[in-house]
Amino acid sequence: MAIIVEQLSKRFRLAHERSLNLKGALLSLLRGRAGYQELWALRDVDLRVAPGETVAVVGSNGSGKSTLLSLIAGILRPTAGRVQSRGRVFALFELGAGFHPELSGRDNVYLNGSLLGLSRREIAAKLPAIAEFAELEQFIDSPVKSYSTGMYMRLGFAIAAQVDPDILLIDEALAVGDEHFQAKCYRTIADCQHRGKTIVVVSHDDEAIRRVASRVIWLERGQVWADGPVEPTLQRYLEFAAREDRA
Amino acid sequence: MSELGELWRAREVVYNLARRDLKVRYKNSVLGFFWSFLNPVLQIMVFWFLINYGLNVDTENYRVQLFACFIPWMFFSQSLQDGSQAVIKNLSLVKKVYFHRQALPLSSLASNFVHFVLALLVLGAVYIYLAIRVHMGLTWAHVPVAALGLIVQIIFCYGLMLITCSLSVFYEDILFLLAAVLNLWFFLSPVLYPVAMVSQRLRGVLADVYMLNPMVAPLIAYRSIIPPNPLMEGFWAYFAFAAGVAVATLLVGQWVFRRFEWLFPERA
Repeated sequence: MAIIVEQLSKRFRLAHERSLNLKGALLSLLRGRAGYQELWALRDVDLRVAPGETVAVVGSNGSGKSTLLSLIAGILRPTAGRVQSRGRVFALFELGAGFHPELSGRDNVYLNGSLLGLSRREIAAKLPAIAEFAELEQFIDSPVKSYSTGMYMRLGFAIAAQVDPDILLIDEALAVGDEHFQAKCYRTIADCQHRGKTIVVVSHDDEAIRRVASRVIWLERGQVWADGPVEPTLQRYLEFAAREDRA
Repeated sequence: MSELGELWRAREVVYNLARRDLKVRYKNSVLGFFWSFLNPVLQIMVFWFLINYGLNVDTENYRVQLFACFIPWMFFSQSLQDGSQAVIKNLSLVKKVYFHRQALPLSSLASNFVHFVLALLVLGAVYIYLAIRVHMGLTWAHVPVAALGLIVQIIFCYGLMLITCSLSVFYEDILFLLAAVLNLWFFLSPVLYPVAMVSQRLRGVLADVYMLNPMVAPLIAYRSIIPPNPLMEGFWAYFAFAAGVAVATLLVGQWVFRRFEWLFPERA
């Protein structure tokens, strides 16, 4: 298995506004009241993703999709249960997350690459490919703040594409950009699929899901409501979502 | 030990984050890196002016001693202030990418260390000038002592940074509190004055309380490089105490940071 999720639960403590300063924190401590509310984002989730699968996670807003992805990426720690993944995980939650506007494209590639666990030598070796993929060869030494939105996104995606992870986690990242960019993203994903990479994608775009996914997991209120082949599972979710919309 | 291993693996992240801090800090200023030199020089000139016209303790040696203490102090205070914001300023990154979280405070220590080294070069230049002009000597035997002092200072500072950067994510008061504390701390530490001046004035318990400050021993060591400044009686006892406090602070800092690091990405 590429990803094993067992009995996974995640509780968030949402701080009341007043407890964000020392005075508030001390007051709630004195009154013996918790300065926060509890929220279970995920409850007893079990999942197995085989190597080479492309799984789409669907569900209403606040159903725990992004939390699940963050847990698989190792950014959050489970409250209960466990998450296990095999190989290098790359989380693409926002194109160009961590780019600094004042730094050049090149510097940002180095910074981002090292955050993803690449050594300087590996990054140097991949840099020409990244610049080419992003179509930014001439601008790689200009500060990122001078880039257009498209250039910015292309560079962010290029890093993901060239890092060559074993497991790729994508959160809505493909919902942006023009057709040219989208086409490029789809080509990259198809290429990853050919090479047997595991992909988990969170999306609200059912066309995109039909196009890339081999399986759909429907998450609702922090629990798995359905898990199966794309078309029937997606249909059930879409009908549910339509009913919710009318209600 | 496993912590050290993880930090070693995160060295590229630390390097790149520190490089980013250094590049960004002066990106839009004409004088750029010169501010690293200019800042301490300007501050020192203010103090020299005060000393010349106020304190009447003016000797060339005294001025260089002041420099030798003030530059490490700036390093301490700047690292602490920058470091306390190391996590909160990078929260968007923390929420989207997993990397070894201690790379954040460590990179802020590293970028401030670079500034410190640059300022030391200024100190060196001033010293060479004075060595030629007024034949000022140097107590070479005390250079390793000062180096040990610097190590104690860095360990202590990093421990405090781990604590303040963890707490700052949840309590915004930390930055203001820190600024006030550092201001007071500056005057309670032998930067502007030699520690001998304190032992002349404070007696008994107060003098002992004064020596509890772990920054005192490193500052005595820095000052002792420029003669005439023998290490005070009982220096090594104070030094051992400061080293003990520094290591304890580092351990507490590690403990606090580990307790909080998983809560960083959950901060709204």
